[in-house]
Amino acid sequence: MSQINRRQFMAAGVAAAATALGSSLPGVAQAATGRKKFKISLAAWSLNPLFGKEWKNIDLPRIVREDLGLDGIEFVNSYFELPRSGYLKKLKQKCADYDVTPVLIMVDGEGDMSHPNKTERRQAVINHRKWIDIADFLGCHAIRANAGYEKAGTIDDRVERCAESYSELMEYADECNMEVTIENHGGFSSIPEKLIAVMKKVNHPRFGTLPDFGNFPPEIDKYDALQKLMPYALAVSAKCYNFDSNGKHDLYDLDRMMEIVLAAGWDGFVGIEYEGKKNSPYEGVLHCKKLLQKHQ
Amino acid sequence: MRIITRRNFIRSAMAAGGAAAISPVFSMAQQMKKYDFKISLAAWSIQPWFNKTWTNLDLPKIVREEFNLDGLEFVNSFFTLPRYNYLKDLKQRADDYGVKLVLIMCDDDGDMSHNDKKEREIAVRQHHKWVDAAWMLGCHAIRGNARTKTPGSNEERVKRCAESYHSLCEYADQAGINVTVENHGGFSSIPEYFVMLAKQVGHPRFGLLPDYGNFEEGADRYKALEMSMPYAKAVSVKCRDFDENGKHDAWDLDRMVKITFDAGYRGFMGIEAGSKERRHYDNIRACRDLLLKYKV
Repeated sequence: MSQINRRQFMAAGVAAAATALGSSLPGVAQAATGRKKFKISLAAWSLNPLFGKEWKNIDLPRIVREDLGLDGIEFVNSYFELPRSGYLKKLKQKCADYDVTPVLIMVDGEGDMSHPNKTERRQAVINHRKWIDIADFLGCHAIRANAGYEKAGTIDDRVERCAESYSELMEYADECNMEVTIENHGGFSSIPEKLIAVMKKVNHPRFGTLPDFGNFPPEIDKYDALQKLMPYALAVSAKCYNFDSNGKHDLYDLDRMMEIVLAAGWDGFVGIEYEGKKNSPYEGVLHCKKLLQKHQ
Repeated sequence: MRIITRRNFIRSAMAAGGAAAISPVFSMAQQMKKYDFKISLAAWSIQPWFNKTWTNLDLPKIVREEFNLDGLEFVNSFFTLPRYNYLKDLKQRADDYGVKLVLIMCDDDGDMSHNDKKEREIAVRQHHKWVDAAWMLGCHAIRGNARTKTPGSNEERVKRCAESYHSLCEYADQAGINVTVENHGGFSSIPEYFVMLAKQVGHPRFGLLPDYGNFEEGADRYKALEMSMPYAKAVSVKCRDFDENGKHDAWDLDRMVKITFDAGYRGFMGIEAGSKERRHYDNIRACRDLLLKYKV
């Protein structure tokens, strides 16, 4: 398995990138070659308010290409129909037809990976396996799972249990070289140091973080937190909420977040995850897209 | 609404037993050889009403209250997204109704005999999730398919198929789950190749699931069943319409049942009733009554 993934690449390149940053002004070099610095995908969750009413999972490739003009999809497992080969083939074909990359699957509702009960943790690991196979079938590079929410024990105990579960899951993921990411998604996963502790314990090149710009608790400095998580990142969620009258993201500085992402050497997909209330999901995503494109 | 209690369950079971004790069928059966076995319902038996009068979650209740049987054989196509909470709910319902979950019949999850090895590998992987679901639900087995439309002689197909199932058995063995193949079209319905498959897989977790009705036209079903039974890990007691005297015209059901027991099989007898006149429910009961004659 000599395949180098983004995380290994970044680990090697991050120091170089940091020194090079001063000399390479954003945009210029890339514009000259026509190559964009990163690609933009849609996190399906952005359209959640309309799920089942205006769209189904199978419609996403068309929506992403035709309505939003984006290049990739981040699926959410709860939107899937019964994930058998026939269905998955259709979904994969749609992605190909619309030239949309299936990036990853966000996995929820499959048990608690840091549950105090070993049997429950073991069950959670097994429950997650199918999404690795489904992601592999579709051609995704990763799944996104959760760190777990059960509060028994100290946070460090939870980190320990979580790491044990993910180490087990990685054994399965190794069979198809699938990447597994944890998002800062509530519970201890939203504390950067603790999520990083899990990363260090599992210590696997295909195991990484999925930093979400918005999911840190208020007392944590988002910019600092993102910077800490980026060296472990295998995916990125550009969470955005509402925009002010000047079109600027009002809760935090989206430009600054993107600068941190790019400074870390990130050149993969950045997934728009719009959760604002002021605009319709489509308007929100398109606006976020505009803001991200400035950095491409 | 799950309102059954173990007490009504026992009461209804006793009523059923009491009725049998005075029926003429029972006294006739006095001289018959009796066997220790249980009866399950193959969910496919009531397929015409799927999503009309029932969903997968209703099956344990139907098995107990409608037919008073002890086991249930699922079909994967009736499942909704098989995530943890859904499976837990399903299992809880089975426990509530005292119904044993026997196996999951898996269709449309890839071609295990495909002439392209990559396709076969994908099919094996996609079956993993059903092994995991079976394990979670407490089933002893899954049932897959063997038929293929891809080129090759039947011998070649058997060889390709055997390789896939051997690989699947290695996965299933970790969970203690059996893997069965049904005579279900293509070469699997030709008795010689059906048995050849079992021999070639040669894994202790592998077995056949002979279906009384699915051998190819012209095959001697009695002989075919006799040949298959030594490798059987499950049995589908396929039946068609019974006449008003409870006689099954399509084939000699009693003879098939006796062959099954004479081969030493004591597992679940899975009723899979068909009907040309939408009399599936009646046929299930008639088949059950026929089987009960043999029960100790």
